[in-house]
Amino acid sequence: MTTVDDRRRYALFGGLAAFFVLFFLAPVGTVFFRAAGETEAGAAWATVVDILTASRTRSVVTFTVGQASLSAALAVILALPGAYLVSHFTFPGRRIIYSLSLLPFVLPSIIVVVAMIGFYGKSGIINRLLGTDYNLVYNFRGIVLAHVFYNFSLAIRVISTAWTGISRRYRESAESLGDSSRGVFFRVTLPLLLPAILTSFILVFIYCFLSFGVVLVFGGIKYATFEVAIYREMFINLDLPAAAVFALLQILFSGIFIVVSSRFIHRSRAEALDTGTVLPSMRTLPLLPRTVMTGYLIVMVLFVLGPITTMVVRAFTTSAGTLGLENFRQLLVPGAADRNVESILRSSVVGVIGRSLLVAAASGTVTFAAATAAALSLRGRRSAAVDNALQIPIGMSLVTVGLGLRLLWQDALPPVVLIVLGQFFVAFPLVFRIIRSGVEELSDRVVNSAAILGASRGQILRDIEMPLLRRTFLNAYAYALALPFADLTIVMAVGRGRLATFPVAIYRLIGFRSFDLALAMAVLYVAFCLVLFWIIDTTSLPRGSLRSERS
Amino acid sequence: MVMVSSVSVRFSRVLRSCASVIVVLLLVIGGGGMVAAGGAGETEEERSEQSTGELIIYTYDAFPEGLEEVITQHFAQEYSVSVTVERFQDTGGLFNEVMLTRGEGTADLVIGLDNTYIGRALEEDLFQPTEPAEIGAVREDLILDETNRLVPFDYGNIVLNYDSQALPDPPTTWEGLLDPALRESIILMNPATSSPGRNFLLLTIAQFGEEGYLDFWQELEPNILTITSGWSDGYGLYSQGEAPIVLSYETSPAYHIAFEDTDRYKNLILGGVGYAQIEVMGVLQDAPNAENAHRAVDFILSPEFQREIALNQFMYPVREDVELPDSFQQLERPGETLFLDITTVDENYETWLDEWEAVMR
Repeated sequence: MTTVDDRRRYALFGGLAAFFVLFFLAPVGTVFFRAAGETEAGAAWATVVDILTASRTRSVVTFTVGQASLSAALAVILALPGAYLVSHFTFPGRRIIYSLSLLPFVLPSIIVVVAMIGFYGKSGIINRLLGTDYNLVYNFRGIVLAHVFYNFSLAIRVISTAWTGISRRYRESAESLGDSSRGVFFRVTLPLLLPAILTSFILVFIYCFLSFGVVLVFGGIKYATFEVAIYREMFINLDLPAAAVFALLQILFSGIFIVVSSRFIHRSRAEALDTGTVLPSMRTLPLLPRTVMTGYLIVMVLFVLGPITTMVVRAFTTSAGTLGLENFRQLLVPGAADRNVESILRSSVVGVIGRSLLVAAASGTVTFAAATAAALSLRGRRSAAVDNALQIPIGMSLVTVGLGLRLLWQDALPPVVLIVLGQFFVAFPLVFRIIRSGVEELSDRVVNSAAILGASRGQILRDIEMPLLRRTFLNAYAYALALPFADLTIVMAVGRGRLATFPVAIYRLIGFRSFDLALAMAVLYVAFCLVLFWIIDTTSLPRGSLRSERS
Repeated sequence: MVMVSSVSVRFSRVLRSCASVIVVLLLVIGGGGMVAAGGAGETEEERSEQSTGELIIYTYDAFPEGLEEVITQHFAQEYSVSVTVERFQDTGGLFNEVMLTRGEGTADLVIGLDNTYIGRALEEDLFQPTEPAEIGAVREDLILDETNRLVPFDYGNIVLNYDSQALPDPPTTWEGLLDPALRESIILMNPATSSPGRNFLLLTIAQFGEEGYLDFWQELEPNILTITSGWSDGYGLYSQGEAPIVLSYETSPAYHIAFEDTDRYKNLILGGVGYAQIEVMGVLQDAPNAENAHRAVDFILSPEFQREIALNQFMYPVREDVELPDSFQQLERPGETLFLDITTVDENYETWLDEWEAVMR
C-alpha cells in the first residue's frame, strides 16, 4: 500500500528524473544521434570499429588510465601521513590544509598551470634557487605533478575525516582491551580506514581521468586524455562521430569506476561524523617523530603553497621588476592602462565579480535544492542503480553536454539559463553524494541511538539532526557554489560570449597577451574563493573539532 | 511509532518545500522557454517583412570589442540597423556552430575563419558570392576565392618571435635554429590543434619541400621545449620566460611596444620568410538579412574600418593604403610571404600531419 508520503516521494523523484531526461539525456542523445547521422548510411558501426581499433585510441586509453592511476596513487600515499596528523594532532596550519582541499574544485586549470610553471618551470623558483634549468614539467611528469598538486589535499580531507571517527571510537576501546598500538593499527584502524583510502583513490582517479586543461598544456603532442580527444575531434578535426565514440568510451569507463566506488563510499562516509574531541598538540610527541612529521608538513605546505605563492608574487610584480600594485591598478582603475581592460574583458572587473557570484549563486542554489530533494526523496532506500545513475553526469564530457544543450535548447532558452542547466550537471553528482550520505547517516545510526537513549523527538531534531545536517548542507552548498564559480567550459560553450565570469576574464586576458593582468585577475579570483570557503568552512565545522587548536 | 511518524511529518514538510522550489524552477524555465520561443517566432516573421532591420554576426570570443563597436555604430547611424554579435569559443567552435546551424537562417555574416577552415568552408558551400565595392584595394595575393564567397579582412605572417634579453644573439638562418646551444629553447604549437602550428608546419614544407621537411623537424626536436595545443598557452609560457623562442605572429612584438613600452620581444625571421595567416569573412547562404551582410563586407574593407585593425586585432589590414601605427612601423617584416594553395593543402594535410606525428612522437 502506498502512503501519501510515498506518493510525494515518487512525484518529487519523477520531477527530477524528468529534469534529467529533458536537460541531460535528451541533449546528449541529440549529439550522438547527430554524430550517427554524419556517418555514411549503414556505416555507423564500421566507423565505430575503425575508431576503436585505431592506434591513437589505444594510446588515449593507456595514457588516460595510466596517468590517472599514478596520480591517484601518489596523491593518496602523500596524503596518508597528512591525514594522520590532521586527525590526531593540532599544529599550526592545520586549518589551512583542511580548507585547501576545496582548491581543486575552484582553480581553473589555466591558473594551476601558471602556478606550476612559476614554481617548477624552467625559469621557475626551484630552478632559480638551484641555479639550473631542469625540464620538470613539460612531459608526463608535469601532468602527474599538477594532478597530485590539485588533488592531494582532497585525499587528506577524505582520509582524515574517516580516521578521526575511527581513532576515537575503536582505538580507545581496543587499547583498553590491552592491544598494542601497532596491533591496533593493522587489525583495527587499517581495515576500517581502507574504504576511505579507496574512496579518495577513486575520487582522485576520476578527476584525473577527466582532466582537460592541464593535459592540454603539458601534454604536448604525445599525451591526450579522453576529454582532450573529444575536444580535438569536435572542434578541430570537426569529426563528430569520432568525438561521440570517445565520449561514449569516457562515460563507459567512468561508469565502471562509479559502480566500483559506490561500494566503498557509503561505508567510508558512515564514519564521517565528527562529534569533536580536543586533540593533543603535536608538541606532545617525542623528538624524532615530531621532527619527521614537521619535515613532512613543511615539504607538503611548500608543495601546495609554493606554486600559489609564486603566482601571487608575480601578480604583485611591476613591469620594472619591483613589488607593487601596478597590475591591480591597471585592472581596477579605468584608464590606468594603455590597453582598455574593459574592452578586452567586455565587462568591468566589478561586473565580472558580480556576474560570477550571481551565476554561481543561481547554479549553486538550483543544484543544491535539487540534490536535497533527491536525497530526501530517496531517504532510507538503498538503490545502487538509482544512486549510480545520478552520478553519471560526472563522466560525461562537458563539451558534449554543452553542445547538446545548444543543439536542443538554444532556440527556446536564453544563454544564462543554459549555463545554469549545464553547470547543474557539473555539480550535481558530488553535491548529491554529500547530502545523500549525510542524510542516510542520520536516519540509520545517530537518530536511533539517541532515541534508544531516551531523547525526545524535539531534542533529536534540535540537538542532533539539524546541527549535523547543517554541516552536511553547508559543505554540499560550498561545492555547489565552487564548481560553477570555476567553470569555463560550459560558459564558453553555451554563453555565446555574453557572460564574462572570472575564468572567462582570465582566459580573455591571456588571449590578449596580457599575462600580468591575467595573474592579477587570478589572484583576485583566488582571494574571492578563499573568503567564500573560509566563511563556509567556519560556519560548517562542528564546535570543538578544527577550532580546538585555538584553545 | 509516534517518533517515526513525526520524522516523516517533518521531512514531508521539507520535501514539500523542496518540491515547490523545483516546481517553481521548472515553471520559470518552461515559461522562459515559451516566452523565448514566442519571441523567436515573432522575429522570424518580422525578418521576412522588413529584412533590413538587423544584422547577426557570428565570430570567435576574442574578436575585439573595439571593432564590434565600429560596425555597430556604422550600422546604427547609416541604416538604423541593430547589430547582434554572437561569439563562440574559438575559430573551431565558430566553424562548428556554422556547420551545425546550416540551413536554419540563424546568422548572416561570419567573421574570423582562417586558413585552417577556408578549404572546408568552400567545399561545403556554406557562403554566397559577394561583390565587395573595394575589393580592388585588397592585396591581391590574399584573395583566395574568385567569387569572393570568403573575403579576407586581415592577415599576419606566422614567424618565430624571440626574447632579446634572454637571447641577445639569435640565429638568423634555419640551420642556425638547429644549433645544440638552443636545446629546449623553442615553444611551438601543435599543427593538429592550432592555426599557427598548422601554418608553421606548412611553412617548413614550403621551405624544405615534401622530401626535406621531416628531416628538418627531426633535427629540430631536441631544441623544442614543448608543443602546446593552442597559441595562447604557448605564448603565455614564453612571456613567463620559459623559453626564449616562440611560434607566433609577426605582429606580436607590436603589442609589447604599444602597451608595455618594451621592444625586448622581436621577430625572428629565418631566411626572410613567413607564412600568411589570413582571416576571412563570408555571407552565409541562408542569411536572413543578406543585404545588410553584404553592406558589412563592404564596410569592413573600407579604409574607415581597416584603419582600426592594427591596434585592435594586432594583425595587418588587407589594404595597403592604410597608415599603420608607430608600433607596427618598428617591426622587422619577412621579405617574402609564403602561402601554399588551399586545395593542395587540404588534399595532403592529413598525410603530412601523420608523417610529422610519426617523427615527433
